[in-house]
Amino acid sequence: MDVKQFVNESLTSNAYLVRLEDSLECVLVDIGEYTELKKHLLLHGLSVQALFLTHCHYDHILGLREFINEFPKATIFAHSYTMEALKDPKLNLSFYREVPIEVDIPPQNRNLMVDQDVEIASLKVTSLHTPGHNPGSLSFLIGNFLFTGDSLIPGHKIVTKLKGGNKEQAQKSLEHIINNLNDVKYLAPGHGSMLPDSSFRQLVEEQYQFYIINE
Amino acid sequence: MEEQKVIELIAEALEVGIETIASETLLDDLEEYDSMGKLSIIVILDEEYDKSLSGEEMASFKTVSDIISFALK
Repeated sequence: MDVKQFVNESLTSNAYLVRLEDSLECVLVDIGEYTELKKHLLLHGLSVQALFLTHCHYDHILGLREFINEFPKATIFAHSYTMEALKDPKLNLSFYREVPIEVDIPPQNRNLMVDQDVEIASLKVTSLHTPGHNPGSLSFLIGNFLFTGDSLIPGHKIVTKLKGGNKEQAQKSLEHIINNLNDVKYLAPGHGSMLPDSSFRQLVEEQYQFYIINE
Repeated sequence: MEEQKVIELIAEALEVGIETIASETLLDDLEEYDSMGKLSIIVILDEEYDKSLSGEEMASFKTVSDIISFALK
């Protein structure tokens, strides 16, 4: 499986492009600044089948409008809270930057997720509902990669003070993630570098202990 | 006191203990004052004081006192 990380200027958030090697079909986890992504898609002749949103915050949906125009048939997988927040700049926090994001995903493109499996672009994607940073936070297991958005950024406290954040839920979600780490070889967070299992496991354990101590 | 209330809000936004923040605290000395922390402060100032703070204004702040002055002006 091939995973390409895109780092956005805005809050240095990450977006990821995932595909089977030699496949021209791919999926995205979050959507970054569209210009760079478009260059990559054109260069490799890729077709995006689906977009999986880890949560609604603007730094994870930057190129959403352009994406919908470019790929009108792609399915957008997200939690119901995220789907609603895409229409509300105060909830997706884009109100606090220069260009508010207000997007109503067409019903035929929506696919609401909580904890479930889907198969698309020959990839099996398992979603985990991991609220705490945001009520609509999802993490996605694809192959041996776990994409955690802002629900888990190894070495950093989970931010729970933005709208809808909840510290107790964040701790439960961390447990939910840890319970699904068995086959994970790479952790791909919403900010920072992708980490191999040789380094993320200890960081995740330390983070969990932090929550237990501060409970 | 209003100044103390702003300090409490900043501590809440950064998810740090109130004892770690005073008006003379240098913002760069706070590990939690990163991009996400700054965004939390922008949101909380809008909600509590109806004050819109741009990223550029935020970048000009050096101490907690600068945020207090902005919130209460």
